[in-house]
Amino acid sequence: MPDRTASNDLTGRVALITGAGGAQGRSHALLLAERGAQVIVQDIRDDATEETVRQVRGQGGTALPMVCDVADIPDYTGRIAEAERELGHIDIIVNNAGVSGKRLAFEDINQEIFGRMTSVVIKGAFFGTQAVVPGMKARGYGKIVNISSGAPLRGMVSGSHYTGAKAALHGLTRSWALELAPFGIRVNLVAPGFVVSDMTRANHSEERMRERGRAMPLGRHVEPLDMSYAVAYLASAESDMVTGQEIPVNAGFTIVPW
Amino acid sequence: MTGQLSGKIVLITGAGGTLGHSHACLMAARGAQVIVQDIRADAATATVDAVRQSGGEASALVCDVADVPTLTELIQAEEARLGRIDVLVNNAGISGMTAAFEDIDEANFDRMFDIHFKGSFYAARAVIPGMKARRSGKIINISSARAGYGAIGGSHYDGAKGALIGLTRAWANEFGGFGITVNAVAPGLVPFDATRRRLGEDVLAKRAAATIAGRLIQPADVSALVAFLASHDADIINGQVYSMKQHDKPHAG
Repeated sequence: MPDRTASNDLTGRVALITGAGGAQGRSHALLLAERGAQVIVQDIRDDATEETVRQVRGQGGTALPMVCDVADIPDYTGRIAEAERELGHIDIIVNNAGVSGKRLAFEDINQEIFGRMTSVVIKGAFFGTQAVVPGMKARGYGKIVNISSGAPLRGMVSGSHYTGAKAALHGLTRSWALELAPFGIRVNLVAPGFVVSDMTRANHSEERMRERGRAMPLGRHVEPLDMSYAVAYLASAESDMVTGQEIPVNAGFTIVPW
Repeated sequence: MTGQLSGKIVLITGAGGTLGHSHACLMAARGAQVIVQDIRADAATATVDAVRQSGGEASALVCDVADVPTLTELIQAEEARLGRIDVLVNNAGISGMTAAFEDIDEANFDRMFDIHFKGSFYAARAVIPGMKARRSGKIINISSARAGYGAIGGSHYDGAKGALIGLTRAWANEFGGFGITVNAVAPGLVPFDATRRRLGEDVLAKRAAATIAGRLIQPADVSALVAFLASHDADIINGQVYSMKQHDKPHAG
């Protein structure tokens, strides 16, 4: 039976958010902290990590910085083990770290670009999750939230290495959900539409972004906070009967066909 | 031979395996000339021999799809020799479907994604320039129903097969304007020899009986869909994913 006191409160929970120096990851860190979670702020960029930590602490929350490359598996998983020892447990992982999916033509995606995309998006999520799962299994509870993109839902004109890598997360979400369900671990995915962030601002002009925003069924682009609400829901007890699912947060950009 | 695929030159990766062998034989029987890629020389030769014995045309291309420079060089050499490659079937794959999450190390992970994701990506990379120039081509990616429905264990396999669905949708958009279509076939459980040994005949018979169709998918079922998607009959079909999962009979009441 559902717990009537279940709520969106995350007090007592520890959440690891990767790529939390970016606009979306920072927004997730701030919202999860606002709802009571202690947050581990992972990013490859020192200054961006510090800024997120500063903002979380500024609103009275607890944040621990973790500066590393999620694609460097031994280093990344070592740091997760360290953080888990320090904080006692990691209850939530938000696999948000990514690489820009800018409009690269298929012919221009060399092995280095392809490899970096695969390593950060898929491999980082895979082995980061593998590092937190033993603790979650031992405690019989955990929340894994993978951040995808609208691209695997309907494709984009270019950047097929990005679309392919994000689509891998959909496969992992379903597989992990079934494998880890007996241990009380829930695995879900959020697929944003075109989110206004530093990454998208770098790739598109203001004019183009306004134009695309107007073309959305709901008439505006997704803001990072729109995404964070879905992430916080999937991280909280309110979604305890939800696993293996995808929530597209995209202003109606992809209406699912029957 | 004349048929639905008459005059087409088809490259099938992993065509020494059960599924790829079946695709090669059916497509050759429908008139295609088949390039049989496999990492195992003997398996590739066996498929080439089977095609030729039925009166078809085939040649072997032996390499590891994860070895991108060699794969690219050999595909380009075949294309130069034959004049063109009209159809690519990204079928090469490895198993690993039962591995528990905690037991998948970095080497297992890399091999899984190198073969399914990277191999498919760069096999397509090798044939796309010619397809674009001729404004005609078909790419068929073999995914798995597991990417859509999940399964217990082998999450690196399900993730890699999911990546192929992403590529299918991205490429369909990117190449559709060049007369190239990209689709995916996602089979459910196909009882290969290895699967038969792993699960046993009793388990397979029970699985088959529980499905709506009352039987499991055979390689020929998958090949029929692949051959259709490779033909002119499917010229307007692009960016689609065809699940061949055998669903269980609905519960009573």
